[in-house]
Amino acid sequence: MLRDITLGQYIPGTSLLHRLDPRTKILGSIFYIVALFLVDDLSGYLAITAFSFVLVALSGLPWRYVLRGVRPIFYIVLFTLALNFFLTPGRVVWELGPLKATEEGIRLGIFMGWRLILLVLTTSLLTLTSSPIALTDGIEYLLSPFRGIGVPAHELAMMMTIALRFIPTLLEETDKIMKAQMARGADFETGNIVQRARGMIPLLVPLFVGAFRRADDLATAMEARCYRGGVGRTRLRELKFAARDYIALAVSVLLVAFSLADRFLY
Amino acid sequence: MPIRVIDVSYTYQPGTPFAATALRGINLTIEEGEFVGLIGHTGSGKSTLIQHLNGLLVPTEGQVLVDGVDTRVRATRRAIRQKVGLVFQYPEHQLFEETVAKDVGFGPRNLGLTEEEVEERVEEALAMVGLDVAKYGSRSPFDLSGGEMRRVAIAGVLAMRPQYLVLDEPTAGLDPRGRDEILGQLADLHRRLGLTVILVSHSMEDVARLVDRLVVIHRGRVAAEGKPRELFQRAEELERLGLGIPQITEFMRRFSAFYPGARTDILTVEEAVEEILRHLRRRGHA
Repeated sequence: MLRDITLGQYIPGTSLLHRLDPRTKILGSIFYIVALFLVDDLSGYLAITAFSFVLVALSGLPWRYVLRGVRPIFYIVLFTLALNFFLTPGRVVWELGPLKATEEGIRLGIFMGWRLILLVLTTSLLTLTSSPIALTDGIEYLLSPFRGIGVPAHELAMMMTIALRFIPTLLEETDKIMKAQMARGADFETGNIVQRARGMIPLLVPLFVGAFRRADDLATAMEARCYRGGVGRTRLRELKFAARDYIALAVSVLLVAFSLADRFLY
Repeated sequence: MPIRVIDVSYTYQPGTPFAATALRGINLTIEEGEFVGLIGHTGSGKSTLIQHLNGLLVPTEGQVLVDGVDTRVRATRRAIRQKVGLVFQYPEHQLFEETVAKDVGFGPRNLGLTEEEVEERVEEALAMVGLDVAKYGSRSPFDLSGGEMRRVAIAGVLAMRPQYLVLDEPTAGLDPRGRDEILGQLADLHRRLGLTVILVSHSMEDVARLVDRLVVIHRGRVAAEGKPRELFQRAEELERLGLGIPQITEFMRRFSAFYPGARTDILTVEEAVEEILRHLRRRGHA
């Protein structure tokens, strides 16, 4: 169950996407999201879908694995579909009691649902193809111009590195505690909502205790090695743009231009 | 009735880039009343194997029978988890209740017992690990020392009244005194109550003196099996598997090079002293 979460997971590789500079990938993702939310007709959707699939292919990752990352949002998509189907005013095509599905609603619902799926699918490529360290290095660089207005770029990046680093650890810990409590007859799978929520206590209390213990240990270990924040820190790996990064950024800008045209010219 | 592990293979996350085969065709039988040591270094698959014994994991291939019942059958899984008590590594990390008594009672309460029965079991289980319910019952488990927390957690499993008790590295991270206490209590439970104990460890020193039988797991397979004394005669083989033999056994092997005929199947210092004195006397040194 917990293993389905591909968010934050990194799969090492040597594909074009893997080799891109993390800053390119972060900026590219932002451009992609902007474009995805701008397109609003069939041709726009078809184009951005094709673009997304090309990206997945370029990542060199197994399709099944990338697609699995979409599974956790299944209910959100379902919810989006239902809301749009029944709550959009327009020509009624189907009735279910007081609920009226409209043609406009169905159109909008499918577009919105598909948009969510593409959003998760493509942005998951960012973490799948970049190591957490590369990713936070990228974020730190991109945020550093804002240091002048009080954005603690290094500290934010460090917090994110640590958070990402502990996702798998906490998942593992959750799995272990669940099993340990199941060995004592705990039940996490049946019962109504209240029973299930109460059933989570034996899982959540040890998980939080463990997280605080780890945080404490980590802070001590960092201080023992004289960590004192970002001031004057040099880095082991300097990020450098290559030709492919300029090309990728150009493509992202074109994508946004295309979606703007799709939205406002047609 | 025994626990039978038949041709069991297990793969984590099959069909993903992270697929990892942890067990490859394990065959193992654990008889009732036995004290078995499961030995293997990190990553050998021993932790995966013990999660199969109470149905927390079900085999990718093969089957596990607990008293003749297949662990793949969902309906009986709860009964199996009661029958086979599993104590994970660092079990104190799963304590969560406000008081020791409540935490130890978590298992029995899940079995649907009445409050009196739960209380009785809590007292009994705490006594088994050498803790007095009157003194510890109302304290917070988070205020105890490391060794005490460990024992409370083990009591939490014992309160289920299992027939089989499986422990994953129960002495990890304890000081020598805490370690000896826990190992002593396990030996005692085995001797007095006839509890079947399966002790998982990477340390020969810990288990050699206690167990009837050792099973060596290496890369997901049973690499060697036998009585400790017999197994330690194959020291070179064990070394190849990344496992040593107890220091005192190693010492006696070297001793026998100078004193031919000296026994090498020694497991404790007391045995060694006797054997060494016997040889020294024979040569007139002592």
